[in-house]
Amino acid sequence: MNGLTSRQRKLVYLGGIATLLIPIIWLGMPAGGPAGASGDGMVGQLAQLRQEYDLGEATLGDVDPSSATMNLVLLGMRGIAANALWQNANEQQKTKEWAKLRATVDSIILLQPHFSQVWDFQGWNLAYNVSAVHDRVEDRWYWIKEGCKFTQKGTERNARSARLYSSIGRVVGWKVGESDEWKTYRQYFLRDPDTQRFANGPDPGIAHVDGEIFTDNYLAARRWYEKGNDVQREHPQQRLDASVVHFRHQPSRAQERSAWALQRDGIFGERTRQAWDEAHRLWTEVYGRESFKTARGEVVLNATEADILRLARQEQVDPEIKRQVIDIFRADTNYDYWRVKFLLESQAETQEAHRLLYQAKRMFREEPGRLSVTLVRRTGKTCDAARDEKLSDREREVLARLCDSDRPVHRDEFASAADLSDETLTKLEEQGLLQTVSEIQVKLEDAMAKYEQFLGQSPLVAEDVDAIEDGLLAVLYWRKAHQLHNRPVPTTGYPLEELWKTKPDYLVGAQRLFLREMQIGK
Amino acid sequence: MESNPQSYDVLEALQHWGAIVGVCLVFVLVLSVLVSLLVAKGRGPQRVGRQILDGFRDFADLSPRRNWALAMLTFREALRRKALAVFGVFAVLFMFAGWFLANANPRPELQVGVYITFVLTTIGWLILPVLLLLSCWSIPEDMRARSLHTVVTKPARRIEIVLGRMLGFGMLGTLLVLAMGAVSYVWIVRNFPAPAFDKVLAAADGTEYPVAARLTHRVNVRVTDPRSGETTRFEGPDDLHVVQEVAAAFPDIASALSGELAGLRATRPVLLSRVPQYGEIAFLDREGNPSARGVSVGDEWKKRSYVEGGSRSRAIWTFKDLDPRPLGDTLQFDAEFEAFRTHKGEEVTDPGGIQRFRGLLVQFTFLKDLQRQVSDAVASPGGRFESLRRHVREGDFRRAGTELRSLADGIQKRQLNLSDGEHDKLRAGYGRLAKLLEPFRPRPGSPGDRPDGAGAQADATEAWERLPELVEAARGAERAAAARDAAALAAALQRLGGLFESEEDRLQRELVDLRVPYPPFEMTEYSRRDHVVVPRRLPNLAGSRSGVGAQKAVVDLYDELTHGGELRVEVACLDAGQYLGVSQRDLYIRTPDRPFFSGFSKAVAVDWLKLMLVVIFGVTAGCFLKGPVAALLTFTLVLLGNFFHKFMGELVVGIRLPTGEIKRTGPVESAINIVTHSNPQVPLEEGWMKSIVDVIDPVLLKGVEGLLYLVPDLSRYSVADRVANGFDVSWSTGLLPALMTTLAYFIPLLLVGYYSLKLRELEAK
Repeated sequence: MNGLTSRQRKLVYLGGIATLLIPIIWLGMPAGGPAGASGDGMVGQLAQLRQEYDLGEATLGDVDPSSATMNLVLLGMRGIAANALWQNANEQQKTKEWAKLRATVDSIILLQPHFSQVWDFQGWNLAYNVSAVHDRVEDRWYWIKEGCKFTQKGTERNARSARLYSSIGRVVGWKVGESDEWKTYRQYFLRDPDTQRFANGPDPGIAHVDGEIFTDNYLAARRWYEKGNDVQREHPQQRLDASVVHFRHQPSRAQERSAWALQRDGIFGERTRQAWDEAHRLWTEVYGRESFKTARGEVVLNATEADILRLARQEQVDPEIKRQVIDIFRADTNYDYWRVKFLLESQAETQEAHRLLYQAKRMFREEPGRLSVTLVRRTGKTCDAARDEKLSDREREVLARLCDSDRPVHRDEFASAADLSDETLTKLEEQGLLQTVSEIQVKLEDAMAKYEQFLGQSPLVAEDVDAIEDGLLAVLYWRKAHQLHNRPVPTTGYPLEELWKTKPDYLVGAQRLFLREMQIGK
Repeated sequence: MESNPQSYDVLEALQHWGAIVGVCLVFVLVLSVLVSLLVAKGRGPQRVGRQILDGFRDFADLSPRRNWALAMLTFREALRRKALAVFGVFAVLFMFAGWFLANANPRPELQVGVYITFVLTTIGWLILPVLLLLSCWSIPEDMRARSLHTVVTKPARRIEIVLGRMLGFGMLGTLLVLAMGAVSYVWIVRNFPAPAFDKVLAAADGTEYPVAARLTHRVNVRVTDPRSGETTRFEGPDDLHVVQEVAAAFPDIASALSGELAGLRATRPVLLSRVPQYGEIAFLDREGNPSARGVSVGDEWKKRSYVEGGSRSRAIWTFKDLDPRPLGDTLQFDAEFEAFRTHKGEEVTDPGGIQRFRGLLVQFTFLKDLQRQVSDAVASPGGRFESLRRHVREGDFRRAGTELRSLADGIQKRQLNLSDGEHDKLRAGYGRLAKLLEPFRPRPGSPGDRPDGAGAQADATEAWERLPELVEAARGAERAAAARDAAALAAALQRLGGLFESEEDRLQRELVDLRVPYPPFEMTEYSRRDHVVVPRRLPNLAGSRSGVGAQKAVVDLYDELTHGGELRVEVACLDAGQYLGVSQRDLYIRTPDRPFFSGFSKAVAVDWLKLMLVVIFGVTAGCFLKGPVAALLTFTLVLLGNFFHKFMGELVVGIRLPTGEIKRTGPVESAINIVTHSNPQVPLEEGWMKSIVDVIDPVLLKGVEGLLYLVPDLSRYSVADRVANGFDVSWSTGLLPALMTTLAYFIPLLLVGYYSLKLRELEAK
């Protein structure tokens, strides 16, 4: 032992502590340092470096004091505590103790506030799994919102995690808009079932984004995706679940869903056309014109010839190679298909085709009386027969009248005006000189003809599964309209005939859609 | 949902306790005598005897004054050691609890459980380490500091030293629990105040009546008459009663009330102590036949099984010992069913224009199905008894009697050999038959004065002279089946068969099947309990198949639908393709609620009893171990008792293999399974390894079994969940088990502590 007394030893220790504290305090000063001291290269250097390399907790997002306290109190046992909480959460989910599950999940994120996968997983778990086990749709809606709000909180703690914004978009857009209960959810999006709490209005937790009120869940989702894209552009080092090229197309896809949902709701015309137009603009002018840095060089999906030459020159490669690289990415993102689809859908004729089809199908489901055969129309032989000398004058006169009419005429009115008996009409029909049809059949055929035109505009759309199934679905309705009245289904000479005969592989999907629409409507 | 609600059987517990304590005493005594023989040769047993006598003397001479003085000393010592500093931690926790709990869930009915669990857990786990350390270190520290010498030289007996410590720390624990309990109670009540309802209701003539309501476990409504300015108060157990009373008193605002007070019903208080009366559950399968369980829908959680909708599948609850006195003119049920859908169901639009899918339709049917129950009871083994069941179902008691006598002949002549399982079923079945018949006995007292309505039956059954014979014959069959005595069983069945034949008319008249369906309701799930209020006078909607109730338009629930104090409720799901998830605790009769304070204070009391047990363990361990070791031992016991008691039980009992065989896996086999990555359900291959395992594991498992009996099951003290879920803590399922467990350990541990301190060399630090 040395000869120091206890007091002297303590003073030495104190001196040592003070000596060590000086550089720590000096280095640990705020980034700016004391007034007038910045710029000397030493003051606040640690803070400056932390800021430069984004290592400070505050740079990741809001710092929750309770979270920081918890982590300090646990003295390095955070992992064990988090593990125990995850086990509790699983058990509580199994035993359906939802309130406790929610509280446990909140505790988990206090321990792991900057682990974005935790926010992502638990938000998804609440919105998808927990909501699914509830019976009442209001309860399901409540848990979807809980999942959404939870992930929103995650974005506050992890301001640089683009994936969390994307996850919110997924819940607000896809979960709300594509579930079996989509119709109810989209109503709840506008007017929450908790009418007392939200005063007959929407829950801001799901319908508001940055203070802006959205009346369409897909448009709210688009905003979340756009925010995610902004964050990703600002902090490109953050890991994503998809490639950047795929990640960035989400706003335009959400816009596409918004337009599609309008059609599904039976809204056609200028509003829907504009929604498609906006999707086309986003796809071609925003997403398509964005420059992506990839392992194969810079890529612009909607590149002009001048762009290709410029990029090739910058990277000192053959323009043909650059063109091929861009083509690869265009194929990978299905760029051309969506471009054409959005373009075609934004045309008034396409809207008309969808409108006719929607109305015809709805009439089929809701007005079965119109399935009765009440109309008469000409066939391919009618006009020739009107000049046929073998027929009687009376018959020729009747057929000539029918030949002159573009649209079907009412059967009874026609028979009465032409003074024809039922037997004569039946005889003429059996000879193929006229055709008796139902109102729905005519409506469906008009819609099918329009839809055929739509499909014929681009081979890309003609090969799209959804487009094919929708076309086959129309034919299925049309065939059913015949079968319900024990009338033979024509085997040729009807719109969409080629689609019906060349795409039998898609029939199963179309039949499933048919059954679903017949059961719950659309 | 209430957890661990099994009723506590005091007699069985005492027998169990006596056996364990007895075995331990005998073991210790034998060991002591053997050791004393080795140490002191022939004088050893004499010394042991002297110690036992000393012990009796010390126990007999226990002085309350000395105990009190020692307890106070202990209490002061604990205060000097700054035990109350735990309040600081407690205060800090409550100051910041809001950070962790607030706004986690905006729905108060979901949130309240989290708050209550938090405070009760905090009280328990915050005081526990303080008491554990103080009690474990107290005596060893006094021995180290030699302050114990000053005590033992006083006229204080060793048992008083031990008891005094226990009482002193017990007092400290009591003080802490009371203070923290009071603060917690105020904190919860402040966070979830009783909802108030203030409206001005307009009558048809435009007169405005101010109505103010406050909802606690009772509903208080004040209505002010604007013309006279007088305020009338109404109070009742629920809003339904009160609304009816208000409507009767103020008919001019009755119509306004019906709509406006829907808001009152929507704002139910969240701080409640429900007092449930549970029943027993049975199932019928889709064909309407008895079944052990409902359908499994593949839910990982096996708590519920499912009733198939749109079929004859049913869940039937039997509520025994129904006492209608506190229930009034209504019977209130709470149902917590679950739904499993195979399709979305019917889409409906609410009056507010919001579309939703209709909840599953559930229907209650009240049953007095005596004929059916008797048929199931007499033919309980099935098989060769099926024709007997059919005859009783058809009300043909003459043929049923003949069939019974024929079966008895078969048993007598050994043509019908019954298996053990069939004997057991017969025992249960004929025991049930006796119970079903007994309520027809004439009872003392005037007819109709019995609350369960048996008085009315007594009136009708006064002249049933041969009823005692019927009951006795059924009891005889029950006893004979239990004893596996074929001759006695045959004789009893012969006698019963004869009575069935001779009493045919009376049996046909008395054993009725009365079914009174109640209008279906749309069920909800989880946090929203379905509250079904059934009036005592029930409209007989569909009528019954047979019996007196068939002709009646209105049936009295208590007088005409209960039998021997039993009420049977059949639950059906009316939606085809949907399934209703039920478990025994999912439907209960809700007797009048108690204030939240009732459940909360009992939960705190149970927590207190647990802490007392820890003190008892700690002080005892300190009598024969040094402080750190005693603390470690007590902490281990607390851990084992809290978290591993169930696991130890599973180890001892074993797991059931798919083959039905029970497999017990010991520590050695488990270690081998871990190393070889083998499935514990797969038996070890024959060989030397298995031979070793077969020898060692049973011994080790016996050790675990012994430990299982010695380590307290602290899950008995887990009643926080019940309070968190809005239930009261009943005496028989909450307080009594906790109290008995604490007392069960107190007596033997006091003995252990006393002898440890008495025989210990105090100079050994």
